[in-house]
Amino acid sequence: MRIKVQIKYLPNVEDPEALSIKRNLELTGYRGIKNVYSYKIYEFETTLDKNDSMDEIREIAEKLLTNPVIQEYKIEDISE
Amino acid sequence: MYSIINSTPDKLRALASGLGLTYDEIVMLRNYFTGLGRNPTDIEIQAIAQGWSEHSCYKSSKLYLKKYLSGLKSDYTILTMEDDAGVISFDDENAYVVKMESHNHPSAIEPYGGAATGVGGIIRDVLCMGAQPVALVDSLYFGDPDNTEGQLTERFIINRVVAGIRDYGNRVGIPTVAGSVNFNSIYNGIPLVNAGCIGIVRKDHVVRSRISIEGDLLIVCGGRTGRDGIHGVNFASKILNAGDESNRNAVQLGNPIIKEPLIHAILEANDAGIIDGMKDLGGGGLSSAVSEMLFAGGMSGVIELDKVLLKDTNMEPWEIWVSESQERMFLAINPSRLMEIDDIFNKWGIEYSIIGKTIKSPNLVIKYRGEKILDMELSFLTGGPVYARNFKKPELEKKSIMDREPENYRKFIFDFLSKPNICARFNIVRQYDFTVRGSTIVKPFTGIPNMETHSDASIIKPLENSFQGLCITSGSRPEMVGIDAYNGTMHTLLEGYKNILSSGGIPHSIVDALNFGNPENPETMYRFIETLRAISDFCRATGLPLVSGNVSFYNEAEKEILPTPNMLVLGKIKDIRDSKTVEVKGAGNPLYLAGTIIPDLAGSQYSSEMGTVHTMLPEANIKELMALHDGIVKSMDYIKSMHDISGGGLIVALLEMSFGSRFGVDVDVTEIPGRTNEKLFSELGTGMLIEVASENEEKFLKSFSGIRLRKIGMTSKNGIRLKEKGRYILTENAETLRHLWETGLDRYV
Repeated sequence: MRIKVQIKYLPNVEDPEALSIKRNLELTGYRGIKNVYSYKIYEFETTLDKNDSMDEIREIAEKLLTNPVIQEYKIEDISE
Repeated sequence: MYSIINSTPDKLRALASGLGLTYDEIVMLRNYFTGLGRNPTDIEIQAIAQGWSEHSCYKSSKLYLKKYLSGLKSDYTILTMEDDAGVISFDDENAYVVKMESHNHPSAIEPYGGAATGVGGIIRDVLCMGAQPVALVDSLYFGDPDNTEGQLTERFIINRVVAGIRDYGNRVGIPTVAGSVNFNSIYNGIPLVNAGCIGIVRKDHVVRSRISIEGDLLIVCGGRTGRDGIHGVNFASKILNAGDESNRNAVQLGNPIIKEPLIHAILEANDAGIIDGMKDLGGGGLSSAVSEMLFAGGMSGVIELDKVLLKDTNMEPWEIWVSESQERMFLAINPSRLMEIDDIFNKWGIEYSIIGKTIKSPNLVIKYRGEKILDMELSFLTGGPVYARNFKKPELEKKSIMDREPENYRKFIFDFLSKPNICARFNIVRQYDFTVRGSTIVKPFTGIPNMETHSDASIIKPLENSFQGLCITSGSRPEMVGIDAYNGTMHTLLEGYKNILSSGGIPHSIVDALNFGNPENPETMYRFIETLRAISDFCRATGLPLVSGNVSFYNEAEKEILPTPNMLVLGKIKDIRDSKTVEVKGAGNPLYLAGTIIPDLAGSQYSSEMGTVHTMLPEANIKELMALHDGIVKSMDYIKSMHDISGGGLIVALLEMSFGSRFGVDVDVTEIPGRTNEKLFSELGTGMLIEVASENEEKFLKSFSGIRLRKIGMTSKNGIRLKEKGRYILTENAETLRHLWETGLDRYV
């Protein structure tokens, strides 16, 4: 199956990458941008059944991909 | 408004604990405000909590720092232990600026942001002296890389700390040239991140961290002030508790893309002579920076907090005052120069605002929306208590112990080379840009491309029009300091000194970053004081100045860390074209061992592997170190390469010399005193390996005097051959050994 993990910063954490993009969009003349948020998306192809796959990916997300102090993640099954 | 003047002890106690103050301190506050006949406002209480935290006012260490470390100057130091960083003469016109600081607590909670903002903060410390930052240094202490207990796995911590340093340093465009990485399970979940920065400034452009001119405008520039990073210092002055939700506010990521133009703008304004005083906004935010800068210059100020540019519109005034948002600088300028600085800031796209002006008065006044919300004597606000903490010598039975020998030396050495503390640091350091700015002469790695070895010290050439260079090395020997804080610190300093010598430089100055456990523990305090005493004795014996430093207490989770005094040692080299590097330069050159390898394995990696518990550490011989210095200086022209004997002992030093080249070594250790394992693995003493040009051997021997010199072998075309009493301990292809050494960290980073 295919599983998507989407990671974003928690609301009160400043996102330097997004800020730089916003600033540069303003410099290049785009006038209508109020805010930019950056996300990180991983896609996994797995071999186990649905529950085991989800558990494994959740563990990977928690142990290796994110720090709960600054980030939150969402797991989604995208295998049609 | 806090009600404290008529409060009950229980209520005071609760309030104190919420603010990170002790009961005695809140009683001091109550008495002060009782004298004023009113209760403190929110901002007054918060400002004091910041100003009196361990991190800001060094209340546990101040007394002892003063006793041992004041006055360790020399005739070429310009500012030592006074402002935000040390300033030392480099040549007639220029000075270098240096500082090292710990960022341990933030890095334990959020390794990436903690390490990145550690780098960002140390850059500001150097920038605020008016100096162009030219080099970064990072000494890191991690737990057992296989540890998976705790909130974050050790691998996560290691990789994210390294990523934070990489992303900040590389993007801001300052090379990360030197440092160290140690592993010990004692640091599980509580990594130490010590970041250092070196800058260069014209002597007449040094800016003080103080303002003594009345009527100057006070400006905050760079990043905006937000709710992020509130209470960082109070939290750095506490012991970390797993799962403590309140720690979360203190986390920030750092933004090097704002910092880079800020550096340009500040330096341009400084070149134009606009800046009268400057300080960086770090721990304690505006509260610390404004109070300290005004107080140091005998001034005071009126601050209008509404003028501070904010990220969040709904911040409380006290939050604005204590926020530790990154990338901000605080400066004082003459009102007549406002147009000029406005032009410079606009050119670089830097936001700024005028938040107040200096006045001559004992009291600091803060206004918010027309209302006076703080009116207190600066001396009280910045003073803080000073503690003469109890100290007690740990009662330990001291006995000498011998390490057992491995059953099979060859097998042991194979295994040893890939241990995290011994193996190559490529996987970590190659992530850092160590050549940006184009002034790195001797890099962290040296030798044939793709076959490099570790340098003893890195060398930079900070000025375009001069060949004079700065040699940089940083590290600590916590396993030794843990056995004996005084002698362990001595050996740490001795190693730093040797690293500068072996790079061809002359040691010039020392910076400390002292990482310890809980100062309320008398035994910790004893180790801390012993460390200070050692630094003092070492500086006096060698004539080196101690120019700046930092103390970090409360580094403990369930267990206290090993006392870790990290020493950044700087050296000067007249001409960088005379630099020496570690790798063997040719076959058939004689190899000498200068100085002494103390036949004792205390504090060594060998001992850690064997699980031996040592309780005694031999003394460091500083007289012999001075003799080594003289010998090397006199015979410098005949030396091809040098490497000091330190982590891993003689065997690792020999191998590292070979690993950077295509050449081998052929060595006989019979004549070196001690048992076989002591000869090969002892990390103590003044021992230095020297490769001498074969045609100059006689001249070398004539010029090198005052210290024992032993010929231990020759360099060879290839292969490692090591023998004792006619028997080979190791004969091996260098490539095989190199592979083990090179890939040691592959499992983790």
